[in-house]
Amino acid sequence: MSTELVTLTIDGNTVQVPKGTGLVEAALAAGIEIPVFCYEPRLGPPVGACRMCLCEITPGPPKPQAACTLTVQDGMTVRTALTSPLAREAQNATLEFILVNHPLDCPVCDKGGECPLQDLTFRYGPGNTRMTFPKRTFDKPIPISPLIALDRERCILCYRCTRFSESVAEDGQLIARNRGSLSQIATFEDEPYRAHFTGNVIELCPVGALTSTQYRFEGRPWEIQNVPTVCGMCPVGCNVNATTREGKVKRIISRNHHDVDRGWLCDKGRFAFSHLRAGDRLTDPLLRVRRRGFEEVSWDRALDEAERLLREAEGRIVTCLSGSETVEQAHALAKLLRGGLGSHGAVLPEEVSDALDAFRVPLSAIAEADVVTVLGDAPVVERAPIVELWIKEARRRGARVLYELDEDAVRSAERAILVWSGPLGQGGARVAALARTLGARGAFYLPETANGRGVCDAWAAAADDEPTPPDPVGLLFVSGDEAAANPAVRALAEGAERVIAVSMFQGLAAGWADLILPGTSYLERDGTYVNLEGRIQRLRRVVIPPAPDELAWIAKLAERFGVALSPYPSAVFDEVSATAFGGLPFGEVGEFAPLPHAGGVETTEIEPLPETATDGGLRLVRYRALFSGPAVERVPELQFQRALPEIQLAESDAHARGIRNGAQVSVRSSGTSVSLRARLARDLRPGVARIAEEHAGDLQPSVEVAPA
Amino acid sequence: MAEARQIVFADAAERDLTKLAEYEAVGGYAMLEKARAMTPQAVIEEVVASELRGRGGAFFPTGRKWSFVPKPEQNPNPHYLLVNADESEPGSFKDNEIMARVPHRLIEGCLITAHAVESTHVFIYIRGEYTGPYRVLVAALEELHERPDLRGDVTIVLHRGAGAYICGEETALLESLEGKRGQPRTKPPFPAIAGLYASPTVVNNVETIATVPQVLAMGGAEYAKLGVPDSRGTRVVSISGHVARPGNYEIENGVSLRSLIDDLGGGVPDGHALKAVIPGGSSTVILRADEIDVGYDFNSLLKLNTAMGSAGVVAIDERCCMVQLGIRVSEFYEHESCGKCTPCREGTRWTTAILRRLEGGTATQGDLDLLLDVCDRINGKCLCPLGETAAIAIASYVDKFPGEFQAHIDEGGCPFGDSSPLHDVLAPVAQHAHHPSATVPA
Repeated sequence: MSTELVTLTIDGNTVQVPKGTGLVEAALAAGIEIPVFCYEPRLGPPVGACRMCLCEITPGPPKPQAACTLTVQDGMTVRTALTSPLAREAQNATLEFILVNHPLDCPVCDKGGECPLQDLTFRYGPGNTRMTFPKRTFDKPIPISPLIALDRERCILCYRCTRFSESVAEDGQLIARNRGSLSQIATFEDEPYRAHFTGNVIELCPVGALTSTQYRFEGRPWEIQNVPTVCGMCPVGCNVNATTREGKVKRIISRNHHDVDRGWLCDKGRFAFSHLRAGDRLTDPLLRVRRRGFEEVSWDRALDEAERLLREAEGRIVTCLSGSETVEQAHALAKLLRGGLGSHGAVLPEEVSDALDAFRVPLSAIAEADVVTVLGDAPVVERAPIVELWIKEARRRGARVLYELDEDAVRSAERAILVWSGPLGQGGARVAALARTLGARGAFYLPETANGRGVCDAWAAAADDEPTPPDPVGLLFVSGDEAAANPAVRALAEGAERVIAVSMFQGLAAGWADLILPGTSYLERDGTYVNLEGRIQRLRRVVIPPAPDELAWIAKLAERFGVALSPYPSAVFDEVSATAFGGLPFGEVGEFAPLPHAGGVETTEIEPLPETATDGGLRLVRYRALFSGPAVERVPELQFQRALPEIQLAESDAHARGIRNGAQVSVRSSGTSVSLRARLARDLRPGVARIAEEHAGDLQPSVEVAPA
Repeated sequence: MAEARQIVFADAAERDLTKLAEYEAVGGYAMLEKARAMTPQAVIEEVVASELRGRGGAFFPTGRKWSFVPKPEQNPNPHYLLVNADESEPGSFKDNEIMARVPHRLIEGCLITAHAVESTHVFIYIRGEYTGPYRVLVAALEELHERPDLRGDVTIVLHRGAGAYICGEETALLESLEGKRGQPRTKPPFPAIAGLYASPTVVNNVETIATVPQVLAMGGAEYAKLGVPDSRGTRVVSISGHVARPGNYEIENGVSLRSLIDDLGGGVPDGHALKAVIPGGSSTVILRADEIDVGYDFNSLLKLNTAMGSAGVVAIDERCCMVQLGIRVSEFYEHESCGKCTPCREGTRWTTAILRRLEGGTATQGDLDLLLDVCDRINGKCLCPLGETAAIAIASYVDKFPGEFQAHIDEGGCPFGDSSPLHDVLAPVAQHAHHPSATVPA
């Protein structure tokens, strides 16, 4: 947007705004509301459909104009419903028309109380109705997916949902069909709305037409509380509000951080919260009892056992962290195990290289890029979904998006962004080195865990000693479900004499742990996470966990070893911050965290990449699907979103093998064969094939693909 | 009164101008050669001098529209010419006959216009139901294909609509042609700046483009001598309804509306009296029989708050019920509303319901007031002209025949009962053929 200012008059107020500002925003700057339904700048150009924003504008035709479609012009005079009878009549007319066929079932509508249609009717609408004919009716509610219910009678046809589907998520699945007063929202071919970002249409809907099946009839807006926190499902760290009622999480909605998520959430972040109330959630510590399996024990007994196991190990302890711990939990564990017991051996989540800090830009910078290069071969949308939306926005704005390194393209670009998504990225060191060589504006590394970076920083901040891995391992301390699922950890567990595991769910560590302590979720903890940009964000306790949170019992345990440790995240954070975060106080982390300044350039040794496709086969990249893992597995309504048995192929590879999109193919490698459906992926370079982990079976890194 | 000097239909009565050879024999495609020898700017200036205005209904000066198109050096995107042949206005069927009888004149117009706006991509978006003209155009384009000397580097694509009135609105047409749902866009940007695929696009009506070769043949100044100020040249008028000789007639702009009905149309048959005339298709304000001593031109009709529109003149005799006419028109617009903007989508459904109640005899005075108020609330609030013209037309029936609407309330029903012969009005498929040499399918 230009810095040139334009002066106009809105309801008698002189307003100066930058040239190119939309009229709705200009009015807002003057403290004047121009009411809207269909207008939503995040959905692309305005459409002027609902006619709620009609204003009297000179110069212009002698009839009310849709303010949302206009940008400010010098000397423009705008009169809204506040001062113009013409505009008031027009807005009143629009609301009357919107309401003639609306069911007015507000008493039983989930949106009631937080509904733009209610609010605008209250402010601008008619107080009565002149409609004396039968209203238009439709079958309702229609489940457009297991997650979303559609009430076509409530729908005011603002087309926000279809525009989101078409122009933001670009999944093309939501459509409008029929015509005129029989127009209706539908999914293409009435198939379930199955995509990564479907839940956003619930929030976009300005009425109660699209509702969450999880939240339907679960609460009224005056009975709920929204707790501002961040999502802990992936390294993006979308800012969210968690809605609670009577101590339970009822839904997750966005809390628009302009630079991180711009108000969009993926369906995992939005809908997977109900794993908190999974039937197999652990609430009491479990102790292995000889020949009788596990027995529930009290926390006092559990801490006694933990203390005994820790002492018996005599320092031969290895700690395995998940990357889903808060900074404070990780630091508390480090203080206990490293500082108190001198056990520095650890299996840490993937460390993110400090070399990236020199290319630190907000995620929103991707949208401004002229060239975006995505390397690493794993699908961005499965690792850090919102990053995919930023890349799509960049492409819509004219950026070139490349999935293979084109050095000249990056060099000649003014605002090149590099993204590494996949294995072999060396925690971002590789992409940082490329960014330095090629002069990129920004670089991102997409780690697999939500707070791997914060956990590593916190672990490191507790001691400087180099780890000397004990052999044999006396005690393996496994923190969290991701660590428990890590094959390397499982291998260590087999050789370890004793194992303590912290886990949210039964069964995950049951085979090999001696003591299992109930874990908590990101929605149950206070503390901080560091996202993939390096942004330190505040996590708030949304609900009380069914078991004490980790920090509380770690502090108690630490006391038994004479380690001074606060059970309060604020105090623990301040300790970490002194060494890791430049002394930033806990109180200043903020609701909308800023991005720390880019750091200095550091050099890191870059290992050469292994050769691809040596034998005419395709290099197989197994990726962890977004809709997988312990939380997703425990949410029945998310099961339809799980990865399909598909193999993703580059277009040229598919053509070379005579494979069409959707065809059944057989994928073979050294004696193993899997039958999958082929999907041609545009975000994949030739020579590489991708299969979700859960469908990849025993396939080796090099595969042959042929029509079935 | 006879028909005017034939410009659009010149020589079509004597020869089968659907054949390229026949068309060339009467001087066809000579103007293309002439135009290509001129600079694009000179062609535009000739059309500006002719004062030709758009024949689709909005009457926008054609030359000026072309001059809005950026030069290729100002906008490197491809430039498009889009011929709107989605003729769907109830009462209008002129483009049907033009395409069926003088397809090569339209094509020559396309090629000249493409030269003027420096485009090599022409689309003709033809109404899906127009199967006859479609076949004629396909054959004509096949003939053109064999003549690289004529078509040069210009591609003409014939695209069939799928049955939506709204796609005759130029921006909905653009959406539809792009493969999207046919719904209007907000303007600005206007198509000349960002039209098809966000590129500069000229959208013109069939008749407008078919007139272009003749403008060059006569010279702009000579063409502008025909007609009256602000309405120059000739116009093909579709006369239908209760007339003895319905059909298309090419007239000089400015002749009396009464003479169109009485002289060309042969007057109201069977001794019935004329009651009303819809002057420019269903979207225009209706005129009472005592109002039609008016020039059939832009300014004269504007004084009566109505318009030539797409030149569909519909005569209605005294046996017709205006409430029934209102229902028919309202139902049409309700059915054809695209559903994008609120007032049109909801308002047209509502007006239909009120009108049905009036016809059914259970309406109160309040319902009649409500009808007018709903029309008023639609008018001026919509995204495109569809809803607005529906409201204007329906309100004009009440305005011009208040006693008849009142009678429906006072008498508790329709004074005309089942005797109102509306079947000849606004559905005049059988009336489309006037010229005996033309076969004009539905």
